[in-house]
Amino acid sequence: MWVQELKAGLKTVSLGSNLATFAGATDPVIAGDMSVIDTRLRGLVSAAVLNSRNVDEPAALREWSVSATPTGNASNTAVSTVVNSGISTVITQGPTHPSVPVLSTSDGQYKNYRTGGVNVQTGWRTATFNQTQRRFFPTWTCIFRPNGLGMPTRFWVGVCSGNPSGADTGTLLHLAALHISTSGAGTWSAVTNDGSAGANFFSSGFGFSQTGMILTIQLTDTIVRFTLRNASGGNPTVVTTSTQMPGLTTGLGFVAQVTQTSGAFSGIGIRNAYLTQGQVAY
Amino acid sequence: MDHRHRWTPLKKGFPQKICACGLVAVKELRIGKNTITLSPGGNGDDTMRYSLFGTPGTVSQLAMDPSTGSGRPVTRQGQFARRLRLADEAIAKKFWRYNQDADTTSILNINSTATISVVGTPSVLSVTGGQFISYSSGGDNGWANTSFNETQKQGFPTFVAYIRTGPIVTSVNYHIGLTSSDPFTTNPSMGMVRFNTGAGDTTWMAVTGNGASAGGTTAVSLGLSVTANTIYLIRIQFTTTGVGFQIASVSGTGNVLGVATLPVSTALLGTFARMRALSGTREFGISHVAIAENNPYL
Repeated sequence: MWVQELKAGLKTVSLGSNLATFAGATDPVIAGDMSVIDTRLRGLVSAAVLNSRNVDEPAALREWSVSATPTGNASNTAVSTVVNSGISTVITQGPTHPSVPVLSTSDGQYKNYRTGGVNVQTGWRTATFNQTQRRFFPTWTCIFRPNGLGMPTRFWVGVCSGNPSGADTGTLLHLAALHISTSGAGTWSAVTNDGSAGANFFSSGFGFSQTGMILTIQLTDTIVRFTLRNASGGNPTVVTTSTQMPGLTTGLGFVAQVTQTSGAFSGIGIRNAYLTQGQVAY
Repeated sequence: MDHRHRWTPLKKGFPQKICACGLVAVKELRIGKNTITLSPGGNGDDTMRYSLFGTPGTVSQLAMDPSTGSGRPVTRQGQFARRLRLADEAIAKKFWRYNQDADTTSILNINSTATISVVGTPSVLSVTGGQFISYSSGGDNGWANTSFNETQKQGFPTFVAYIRTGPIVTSVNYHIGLTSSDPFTTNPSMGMVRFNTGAGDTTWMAVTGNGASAGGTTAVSLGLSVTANTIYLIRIQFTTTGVGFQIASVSGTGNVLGVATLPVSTALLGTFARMRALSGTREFGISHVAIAENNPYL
């Protein structure tokens, strides 16, 4: 029983007895828009479409995280540590920045890593690559800041069955990751691979800049979705693929690393990495 | 809250009306005593106000819970209506959990120092939907905080467990929830989900107890049969007025609220997620258990 049905073509919003029904809803386009798509209420936050969480979702989902500890205030450059919550095998790799171990910027605070030689890798990755599998429906998020502007540099950030940082190819790995090999220009590639010799590279549409980035990678049985935003808000980009997805039963860990390919140094700041698993619709 | 607006014209010649509560409305949609009011101004600028709670029946529906302790938007997720989490909720609650450490038979405590005692022979079980520690034996299998000292009913805990039944679900006794002592051998203060074929259970049961040896336990069917090799998500919510239970699998549903027999308010309660084999060898998988406290707001 509906009191009011607002109709535009075949789309309706129906207001009834203490329920509003959004039939065929689409994403919000300006702040203040609200829609309900599938199970989620959606709004536009800093130009990105965000989903609501349910009140007990942290408990219903299995999740773990890695965070750089806070250091008090923006001028504090003391070395922060890395704290694991629910994950036992994360390692930090390579040297921290010798003079700015904590990077405080207008878009947040990062534990700051910088290489000191060619082919040196630095950042975070799991020591073993068995934290999740695609059949567990994982969603992985990382907030990081590339600091290699102007330097020949290779970045890999994402979930993977092994460490891809030694090359730009992702060869023979199972992965869903963001990659760029740059001297300060170009566009990040979203990359998937199912263990093949040649990985599936495609443009994320997200340009390289020395600013904080929020990367979310969702893996389901049918799709891999990359969502990229600036950590300060805005510039959201969403790309999806069903090509060369990681194997359903292949163990996956994560990497957020930079590799210096030549020159003096390369850098990456990392704030946190966060994984939820088990997003079956219970 | 059951708010009935009493409208008076805002100004002669304008379509808006104003209620004594301050809400200015141009549109009040009414079915009987239920209203949704669209308000572009006044006390509640640009709001849509619901007078009563309606349970979303499909995934595209949005309700609001107008009770003072909630005030949340409500949508449908899977088999249940779920209240939405607000932006600062992570810091408004005390929260701890026990996870299987990925690809191992170890348990990781997160925000808890409780000792989780393990019984049964463990192995890693990976299936579509998650990874579990599968315990197997002819006796007890699974996890328990045998100090039973993590929370109290008066702390309004919500308990969640993500578990999987084994290949045989006959001659088994599952007890999963919060309890003040071992439910296999005592009559504890508790709020638990049970499937005990030895007690004649044919479905998952919602069980509460106040610790009394006689008449202190109440068991109500959750209306969901128990299937072998199936993942279940269990929620048990302790409030001032009752214990709410939800159990869900991909293929089934069940829901009971307000079980009458309450745990003693101050009884210390601990995590318990075990299955006792009543004959032969039986298996029981656990992925994680999580508890949120200071949660009177549904």
